[in-house]
This record gives sequence, structure tokens and C-alpha cells, in this order.
Amino acid sequence: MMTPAGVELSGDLHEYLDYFLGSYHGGRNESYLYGVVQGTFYDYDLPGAYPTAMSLLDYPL
Amino acid sequence: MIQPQNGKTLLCALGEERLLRSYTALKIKFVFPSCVQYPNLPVRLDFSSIIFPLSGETFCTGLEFLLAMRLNCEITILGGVHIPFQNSQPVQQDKKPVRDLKKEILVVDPRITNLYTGYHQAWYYKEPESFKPQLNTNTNYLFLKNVLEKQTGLDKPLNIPIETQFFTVVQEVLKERLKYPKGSYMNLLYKFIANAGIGQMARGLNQKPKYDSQTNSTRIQPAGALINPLYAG
Repeated sequence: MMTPAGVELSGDLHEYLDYFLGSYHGGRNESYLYGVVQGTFYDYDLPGAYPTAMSLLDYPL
Repeated sequence: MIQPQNGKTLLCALGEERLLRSYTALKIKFVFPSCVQYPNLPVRLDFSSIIFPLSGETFCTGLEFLLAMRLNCEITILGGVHIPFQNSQPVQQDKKPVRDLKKEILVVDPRITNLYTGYHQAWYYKEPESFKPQLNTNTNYLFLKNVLEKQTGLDKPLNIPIETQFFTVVQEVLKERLKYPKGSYMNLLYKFIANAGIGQMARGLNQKPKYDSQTNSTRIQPAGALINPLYAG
């Protein structure tokens, strides 16, 4: 396994880590509709999204 | 480790609550009903491209899996890892009284109260055995009916005390931030500190080249001391 301190032997840890590394993605940015908008449209924003998500985390067992 | 199995089997075995209060990562094959307009499961095409198709094979987190199941997705689990939180079981009210954080929070501000209520709203109580997957998903009507039935079943919040370590940190930073007027330098600085906390958990995780202002070039960002794939995912 590659760490900031170098390459370390990690036993079967990679079997677990690979699932978490593979499932990590950045935020989703996507336009669902294209073109000129006629009428009202809404732009939803989640205030404090990162801190709120972080506050839900707990220590792993 | 999670063995290969059907998605409904896994969801019934774990239950939504245990899935929410855990670090779960899965490798899955999935097929959404054709009426789903915006599928939520990401599939990586190459180093920098991610699409959200109706069917495919991908890695996903437990929460993405749960949302996909609520969209009536047919999922086959190929493998995975499930690590529950230390306090994965809700504390019973008679054993430990629930803290009234609304009274404890001195600064009354919508953002803090939103954080408080948002936490509780995130954990809706639902009996695992009451989960009955809808098999017939051919029409929009059945799909919408199923979603509405599930939504109406989620109206009973859990009474679990807020004692996660990160909640305490976030609460302290938000309290400090709200001492300063909105848009002021210190207010924005504390906002940055709060956002940087979770950013540092994932820093350099995907080994992606990013712009470096010191060298005026793009290079792979090194990992930080706070990096943790469990927290980031």
C-alpha cells in the first residue's frame, strides 16, 4: 500500500480499502435541461452541506 | 466482508438504520427501471469521466445503494465491506436520557437548528420487516405509488442522542462563525475551516492531477495526515 511515508505492507487491508477507494467520487455537477428557460426555474442549494455530512459520521467499530 | 447476494436480501438482512449508521462500500451490478429519469449510481468511464446510466457495474457506498433500492433498482451484490459505527445501536430512552440540544445551544440561529433537526430527520425509524420490495416496476404509476408509500412510512424520527465526535467539532466551529456578521472576513474564515475539515479527509485520495499555484503546473496532490477513505466515501 502506498502512503505519504512510503510503501508499506498491509496484509489483507487492501481487500477492504479497495471497496472504499472505488466508491469515492467527487460532487455531481450536471445540467438536467439545456437551452433557454421560459418561465420560473429554481436553483436549490444545501447550506452547510459538508459540515452537516461530517457531523453524521462516527468512529468505525 | 459482504458475500455476493441479491440487493434485497442484503437490505432486509441489514435494515435501513444499520446501513445508515455504518461505513459500507459495495461492488454491484444494477438495472434501474426505465421510468427512472435520474439514476444515482456513478459509473467511472475513465480517469476523469463519470456517468450515471440506467444499468451497469460499479462501486458504490451504502447510502447510494439504499437510495437506488428506493428507486426500485434491481441490484446484485458482487462483494463489499460493512463496518458499523461504534454506537450503531440507538440508546434507549430509559437507559440514557436524550439530550435536549436545542436548550444547550446558546446561539439560536437557523443554521444551527437546521443542523440539529437535520440530524434527526436523517434517521427515520422504519421496521426492517416492513420492507416489502415492489417487484412490478413497469409503469410510472406503480413506481410513484411505491415511492409515496415508502415516504409516508418515514415519519417517525429516532430518539438517538447526538454524541458523534464530528458533530461536536462542527457545532463548535459554527458557533464561532455565527459570532461574526454574515459575509465578514472571520465569518468566511470559519466557513472555510468547517468545509476544509471534510475536504482534508479526501485530499489526494483519487491521485488526480490538480493545479499547484507554487509551481504553476498541474501535479498529483499528495495525501494529507487526515485522509481516511472510510470518512471520504
